[in-house]
This record gives sequence, C-alpha cells and structure tokens, in this order.
Amino acid sequence: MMSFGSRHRIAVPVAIAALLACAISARAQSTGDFRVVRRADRRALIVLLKLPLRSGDPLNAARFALLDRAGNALLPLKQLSDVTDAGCGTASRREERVCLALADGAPSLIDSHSYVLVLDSIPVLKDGKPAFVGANVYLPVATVGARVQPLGKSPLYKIEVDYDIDATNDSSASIELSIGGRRLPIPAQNNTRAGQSLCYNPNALAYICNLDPAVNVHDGEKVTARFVDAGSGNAPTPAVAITAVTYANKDPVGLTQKDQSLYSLSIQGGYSKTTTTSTATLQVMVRDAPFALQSTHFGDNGFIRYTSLSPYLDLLVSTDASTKGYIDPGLQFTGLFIWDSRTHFLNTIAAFITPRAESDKKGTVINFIPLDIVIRPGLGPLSAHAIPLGGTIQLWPDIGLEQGWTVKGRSVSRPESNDPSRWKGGANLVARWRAPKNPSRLCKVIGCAGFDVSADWQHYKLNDVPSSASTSNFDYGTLSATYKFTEHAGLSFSFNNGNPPPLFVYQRVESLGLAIVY
Amino acid sequence: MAAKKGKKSAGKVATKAKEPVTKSALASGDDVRPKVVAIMASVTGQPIAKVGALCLSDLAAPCNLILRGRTASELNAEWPALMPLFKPTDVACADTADTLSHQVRQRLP
Repeated sequence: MMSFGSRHRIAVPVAIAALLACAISARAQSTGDFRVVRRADRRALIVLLKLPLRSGDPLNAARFALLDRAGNALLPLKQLSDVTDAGCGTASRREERVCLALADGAPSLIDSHSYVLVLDSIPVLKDGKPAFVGANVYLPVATVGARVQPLGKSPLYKIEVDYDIDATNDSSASIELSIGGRRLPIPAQNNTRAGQSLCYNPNALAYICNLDPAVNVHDGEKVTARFVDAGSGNAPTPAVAITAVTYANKDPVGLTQKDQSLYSLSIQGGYSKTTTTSTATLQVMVRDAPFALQSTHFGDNGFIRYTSLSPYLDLLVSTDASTKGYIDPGLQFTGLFIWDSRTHFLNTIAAFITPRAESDKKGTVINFIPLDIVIRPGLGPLSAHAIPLGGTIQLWPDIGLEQGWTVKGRSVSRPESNDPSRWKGGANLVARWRAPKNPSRLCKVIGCAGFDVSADWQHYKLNDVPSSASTSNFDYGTLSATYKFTEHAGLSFSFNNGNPPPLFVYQRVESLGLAIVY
Repeated sequence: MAAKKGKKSAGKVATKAKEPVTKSALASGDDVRPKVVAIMASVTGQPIAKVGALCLSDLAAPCNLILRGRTASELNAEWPALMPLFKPTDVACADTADTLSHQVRQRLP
C-alpha cells in the first residue's frame, strides 16, 4: 500500500506539470464569473462568485490546487473551505464566496508572486436550481495590484476600483479619484459603511464609489485612482499603484457596468392601403432616450420620483396625397412617481410634458405646442398581468391637455380654430406572447421571437372650434400586430383610423411591412 | 389601511404558487432570491412559478422605464438599507432573478 508521503512525492510533480501546461496554454474557462482576492493575512484566497452557494456548509476543497508560479510549488490548502465569521466575511456575506485557507505550515502568500488556482465543481444555485460552477477552471492569480474597472457610458454613476487584497474592516487607507487630472470629490452618501473606508464595499471586496449626481467624462480622459492614508487604523497605506483607465465613448460596456442606455424606437414601413389608394407608408416613434435632467429621489417604503428629458418624434407619412399624416418632433420631459405596487393599487403616476411641433406631412398647418401634458396612472393588475398562452398584457389609461399656437396655415380651413387648445384622453394596450420554449421546425427556419399586439386610442375634445364646425369631438386610434422573426425585427400589420391633429381630417391607413422595434 | 390590504393580497399571490426551493437552498440562508422572485412576479403580474430564469422583458411587455422603476421601487421597499438604493435605470430588461439577487447582495449594508 502506498504511503501518503510517497503518493505525495509522485503527485506533486505530475500536478505541477499539468498546472503549468494549463496555465501556459489553456485559456481560463469563464474566468469572468470568478474573482480572486487574497485575505489580508495572506493565509487564504477568497473566490468571489456571481451565484449563491447551494449550501452554507464547508466545501470540500481536496480537489482544488494552488500553484506558486515563482517557485513552481504547490501550496497545500485546507481540506474544507472556511465558513466561519473569522474566515472570509460575516455570515451575510458568505453566500457568494468560497474561502480557501492555506494548510497549517504552508508558506503565506507573497504579494509579488503570481499563482494559479485550479477549481473543482462548486455547488451553486442557478435560476433557483442546483448547478455547478468551477469544474476545470484555472484562475490566474496575478501579483497584487489594483485597477480602475472599465467605465460605463458617460455620465458615470459609479467608479469601481478592484484591489487584490481584502480590505474589509480596514479603515486605514482610502482612495482618491481624478478625472482628466481633476480631483473628483467623493460624496459620503452611499459610500460610507460602518467600519469600512470610504467607498469600500465588503460584499464586492472592491472600492465602489457611487456618484450622485453622475459625473461627465469625455473621450480620451483618464480616470485615475490612488490609495491615501485615511488617518485611522494601524495598517500602512497600500504601496501598489492603481492602474488607470482611459474613457472611450466607443468602448463596449465593461463587465462590471450595465448598459444603461434606454430608448424606445419603432420604425415601420411597407406597402399600405390608405384612405383612397394603395401606396407606401412610414411610421416612426422615438422616445425614452434620456440625455439631460436625470434625477432620482427616494422616499419611504420604496417611493421613487424620477425625472428625465428625452428627444421625441412621432411620425406617420404616406405617399398617398389624400392621407395627411403627421410629423411631431420635440422633447419629452418624463416624471415618474412610483409606489410599491404590493401595497398601493395606484402604483405609478407617469407624467409626460412634451413641448413639440405638429404638422401634417406637407406642412399645410404647423402648430407649436409648448404644453402637451399627459398623465398615465398605473392601476393595480392593469399595469402588468398574465394572459393565456404564456402572454402578458398591460393597459394604461391616460388623460391630457394640449395648448399651443398656430405658426403656419392660420387661414387653412379645418375643424379646429387657430392656437389649439384640446383635452385628450384614451388608453394604451400592449399584449405580448413570447416565443415557444420548444420551437417547431418551421419556427426555427423562419425565426420566431414572439408576437406583439398593441392598440392606442385617443379622444380629443377641442376647446375652440370655428362656427362652421359640426363637432368638437374627434377620435384617433392605432392598432398593430407584429410577428417577430427576431427580437427586434418582424412583419407588422398596422391599422390607423380616425381624425388626428393638426388637420383632424379623416384618414384610414392599413399597412403591412417590416417593423423594427427597440 | 390600503397598505394592509395590499400586503394581504401580495401574501395571497405568494401562497398560490411557490417556486420550488431545494432543502439546500434553505440551508444556505439565501433569502434574497425568493424575495426577488416574488418582486418580479408582482411587478410583471406573472405567477411566481413562472419567473424561473426569465428576464424582465420576457415576463412583461413593454419592458420600459416604468416597469424598471416599479421593480426598483419594490426592491427598495423590501431592502430599505441598500447602498445605494435602486434607481429605475439600475434595473435592466435583461435582468433575471439571479442577476438582481446578485445586485441586491452587493448593495447590502
């Protein structure tokens, strides 16, 4: 029977050879799902996960291995991961980390040495179900350093600096940030945790500085950081230089930052049957792309007030001469007042103020509408609800007022007096069915990403009408159904019917064509 | 009063359909994800059992700023000490229960 000692003598060179081969030639498998931080006492490595461990019990680390690349020596690890509070974090922070302590007698980690950590299966919960991560993953553990993480799109709402040593409960050092050589003041709010230095997040084991208001950064500007003595604690300020990052507007969004872009874009064009003839139409709607005046206020019990300013365009044009269409460019100020929908039937009030122009497609009449205000209440289950066949539906009523001036076409005869003043009210309905889980063969060939139906109806009550007008009430509705081949493109049928502003001339457009929706 | 009524109805929804939770999940003390799942179900009007691995845009249409704001609001109400609290723009249409749970854990005080 082979003794432990002899088995060890044989196993170590084999393991080193295998590890070196892997470290040199093999690319680490999905290393982006892990981050390795050295414990402050250099006696353990903390593997940070993006998923929670399946169990709070210690993990068997017998098949994990750590290689010191400087001496090509295997460093023995303790057989079980450390789940004690003194190990690698308090109980509330253990869910997404594995603490691998060095075996007693093993030399401590050296900051200037790089290592290779070989993981084995780690049982986690993925989508609420048992799963494993880490099998055959080789994590390079570089020499101790710190770096500014890739930035999100300007304006920045946070800057993250990763440091390879766990600085939890170490308030002796802090960080200083600069953008383009200008020092960036770091607000205390949202960046101060008890016992931690400014910006230090003991859950992420990184300095994450939250910036409110967000900070603008320009193309080519360098975002730098450095450690500074915080004047408390006994530990010396880290001597490592923090690697800076240069902001580039074209850069893809980094792993640590989420793409914050918001927009709603709908373009639909195609063959159509209009009021009198068969022709071509184009419908475009652009909104929800905030570029200014973004502000968020938090209240008690989940209340949020959010404001922003976005460009706005609503357009329907047709080659048919008798279909007047409309072109409404402008800006849209959005105000959202949101309450916890589990406790409030009225969970949202969305207010939209859209100073804009409105015109028919030929510009016969052009109105400038500085005040176009719409209020949309979110009411209980109407704001989102499940429907049969795996669908979902939303129904939002709205009420509004439009006041403006006629800047062109004052002499044009129409059912509304110059300088429009109108009340409006209506509803918007959207229903969607997702693509089937198990798509049919045909579905796979032509593509199937779901089916959308949307309907919008507006009633206008004109406050000023010429004496010749027979009514002051008009309606306009749109209905569209889109079969989506992909997430953003599909075949769409749309039906527009009624008397839209500014001419309030009856028009009916049926269109079948390509729809692009974002 | 309204708040109490609302809480009651939320409770009813939760008892109708529960996501299957393994024994080991309970043992890990992970109480974040089940709450996030309940919030996603509440915001999108879907049964809890359906949330699974689906992202917000798969659960509700359209996935606009209002839906994201409502999700942020419920997350903040559930964990009022988050640092920082969720803004509507912090929630993405591609977020699943797993990614939102990870964000919640990162923001815990």
